[in-house]
Amino acid sequence: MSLRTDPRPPVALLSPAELLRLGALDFVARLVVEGFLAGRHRSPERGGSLEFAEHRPYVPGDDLRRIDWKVFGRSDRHYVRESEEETNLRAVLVLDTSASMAWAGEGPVSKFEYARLLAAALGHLLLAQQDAVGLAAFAGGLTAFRPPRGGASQRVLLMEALAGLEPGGETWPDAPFRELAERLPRRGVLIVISDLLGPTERFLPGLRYFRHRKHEVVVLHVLDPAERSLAGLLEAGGVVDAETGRVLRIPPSELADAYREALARLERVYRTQAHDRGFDYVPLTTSEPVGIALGRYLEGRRGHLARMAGRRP
Amino acid sequence: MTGFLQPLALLALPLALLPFLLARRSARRGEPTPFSSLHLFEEAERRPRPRRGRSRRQILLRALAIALLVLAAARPTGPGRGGPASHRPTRAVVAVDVSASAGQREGGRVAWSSIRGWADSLLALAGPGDELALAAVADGIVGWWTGDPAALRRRLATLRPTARGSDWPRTLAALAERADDGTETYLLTDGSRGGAPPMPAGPDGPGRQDYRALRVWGSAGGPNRGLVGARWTAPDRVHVVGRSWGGDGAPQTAGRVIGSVLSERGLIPMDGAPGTAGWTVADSATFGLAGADALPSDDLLHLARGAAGAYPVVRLTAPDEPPESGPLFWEAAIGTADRGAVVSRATAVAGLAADSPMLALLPIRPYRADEARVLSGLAAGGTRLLFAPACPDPACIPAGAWLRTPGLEAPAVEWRLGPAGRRTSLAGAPGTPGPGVPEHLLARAPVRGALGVLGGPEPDWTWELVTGEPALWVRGPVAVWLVPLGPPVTRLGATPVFPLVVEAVLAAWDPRWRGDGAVRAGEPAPIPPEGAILTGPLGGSDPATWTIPPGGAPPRLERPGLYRVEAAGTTFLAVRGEPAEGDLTPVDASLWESSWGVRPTPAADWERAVFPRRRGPELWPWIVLLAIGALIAEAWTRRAGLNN
Repeated sequence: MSLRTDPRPPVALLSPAELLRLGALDFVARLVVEGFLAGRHRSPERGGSLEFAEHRPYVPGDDLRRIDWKVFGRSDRHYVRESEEETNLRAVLVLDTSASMAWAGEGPVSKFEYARLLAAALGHLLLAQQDAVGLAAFAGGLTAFRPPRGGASQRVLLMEALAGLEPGGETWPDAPFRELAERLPRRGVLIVISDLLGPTERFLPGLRYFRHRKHEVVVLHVLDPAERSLAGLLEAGGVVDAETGRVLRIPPSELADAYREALARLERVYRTQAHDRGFDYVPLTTSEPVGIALGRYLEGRRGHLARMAGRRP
Repeated sequence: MTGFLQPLALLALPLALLPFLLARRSARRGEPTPFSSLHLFEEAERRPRPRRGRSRRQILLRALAIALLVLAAARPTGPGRGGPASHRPTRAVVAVDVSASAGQREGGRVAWSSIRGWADSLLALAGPGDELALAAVADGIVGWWTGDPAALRRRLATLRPTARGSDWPRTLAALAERADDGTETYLLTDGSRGGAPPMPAGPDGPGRQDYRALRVWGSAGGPNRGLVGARWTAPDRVHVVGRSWGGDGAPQTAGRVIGSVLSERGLIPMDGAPGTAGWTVADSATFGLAGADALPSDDLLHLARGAAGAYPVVRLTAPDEPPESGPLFWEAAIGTADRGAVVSRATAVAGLAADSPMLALLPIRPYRADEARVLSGLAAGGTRLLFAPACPDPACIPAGAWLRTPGLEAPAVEWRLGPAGRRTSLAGAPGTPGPGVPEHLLARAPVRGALGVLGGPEPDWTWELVTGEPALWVRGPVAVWLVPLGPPVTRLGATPVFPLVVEAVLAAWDPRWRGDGAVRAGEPAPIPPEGAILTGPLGGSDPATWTIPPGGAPPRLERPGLYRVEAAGTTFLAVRGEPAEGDLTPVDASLWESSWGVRPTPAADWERAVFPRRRGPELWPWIVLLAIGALIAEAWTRRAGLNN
């Protein structure tokens, strides 16, 4: 047994800026995922889902092919094996590409760059788990869509698609969310990565619609640190909207307290809605290492699955 | 906070507006900066304004810090009085009233003690950087000293009230001549009117900004209180309070009637009708002379006796005793006699022998061996040594033997004051060579009783009070006058008893000096008979002469000074007193202000009124701490804003 002596931090804990300096998105995402899994003492070569595989008693109507005959041989009882193939996810990474995502304040990278890196890492992770992964991008409409599929070729296509995304436009997610839901006939997991900067009325109907269509929804709320502290803006004489170009000629310093309260209120609304509507809400900051963000996603995901299992009759 | 040591720094207070101006300028000039979305700002903008206050709190805290720093730079001071270092150097004149009225005594307190005490506390507040002058004032500036506060305090301790009257207009004018602009002048006085009637304010007043006056005498006062003789005579009669002495023969015996009359108009209406017991006067009497400069100086008082020569009397005084421009009244009275004398002053015992005096008047105090030798020599040469209390304070009386030299013997004495209500009646003891002690005078004296004789040699003879205590103790060439007299002038040579004592002392030495006793001191003066001649004022310019017409009233003596009344071979001296010190009624504060431009400061406010630029402890360290606190709060607010 040897102690780890390498002083360098795991790749997953590198800052987003440092990660992006390492190379292409695909390579970086793979490094993040492998580093992340190694950090969790999990080997991606073990295969299998991170989700718990279980046996349950056979009930009439179950496919006879699912009966685990080995268990029957040992116990003389019929158990159905919840096979990994059956629990494979059909995940779609839903990326906000509005112009507001391109804004970078104090963070090492813009929200868009962070979201794209996060999406790439998630794609790698899910594909490594034999899940099917797709991609959707939205701003004023659905600007890109790649249906979920598994396999190595999907990874290449996914990374190419992510690399080709450009931020721009105003956020109007309701219509693209509905369009996306229509394009996904089978239930899956929709991982929405957005700054959610806009009226909640624009986001929440779409998210509810996803749930209505029986999709699991995970909302990764990405914000720049400056969007929380307003650092660097307090001396300004006003604010220009990155999406619309509209100008608010009131010094941010005068509105700082109320701004922070509005942000807290926004997060509170999404957190409440996530609880009430059954989706996950994960606030993130672009200063956080992507590996940390992955961990927070998976922690939330594990909790979500546990809750779902508890609800199962 | 009571003031600022650097008030000009307050001109920088507008700097406190700087944060507001900068914030406003920044808000105007600051360019809008790109941001991800206006959504949250627009929501914030719809919130009530007070919720946006963090930045305004910062601006307020910055402004507060600047204002506090400016305030600290102005060096504010708290209530109370700071040390000498807490003010800029002060130029000040401390003027103490040494007019005769300052010596008035009431209830055991002497006005001068209060004046001196207040002046001393004032000088004690001064620091080494201050430019101070001490002025003794009466009818002008009679003494002026400069130096460090300690030296001035020592000088102050030597000052005593004089026989001068007050003349505030003249005094204030003299002070104004000596004091530069910005000099603070403090007047410490018993507050009586003095000789000057209220007068219209001069060009400098009312409103002498740098003047502070304190009337330290709180007694009700009143006319004819406290001055020599003022209480010793009935207020409505002219009394004989002394008589002259002379050689053999009635023509040479001059009875002296000395009285004075004070009225608001300064007149002496000698309107007594013939046949009555005395002269009824309109007002009460006082002694003291203004315009005394015109009278013979007290440089020498020669007791002339026939044509045989002059017999000087020398008075020993303290070296630093303020100069007296004129003679004391009684000295003057003696000097105006046909065969008068001139009293000289010597400031050292060695100087007493200069004129081979017939009589040397000395204070009761310890004498060094060399001084005692000089006195022995004088006594051997025929000089009588008359010792008397130098002041009406117990501190003036030495303990134990104070005159030790062969041939000169004096008793040990102690301070004893008789009860206030005691009345004595003392006639000259049978067989004593001198006249009786003027007990009726002493009974009216504010200071009563006598020094007690503790022991020592037996006297040749004494005058004794009815209490058995001696008033005059005589042995050989040494005579000791044991009655502290006053107020205010407590020197024996300045009291009406002086001629009597001198007569007694000299008569004991030479019977030819004994008076005929025709007139008792203190008895009502005989009415000037028909044909009596009044002459006066003596010693002044242009004396007038009146002859009392048959059945007529005496003339009105309008000019102050000595008047001689000659009738039936007897000469009386009457005094038309200068009202300078006759009325001790405290002058109303408003009258002070309207007349002399100085409103007296109540004693309770004096401490706050003096040295107005010298304030209490400086507050700037605390204010700087407050400013630092404001800056810390501003930083905390800013940081909290960044962290939230």
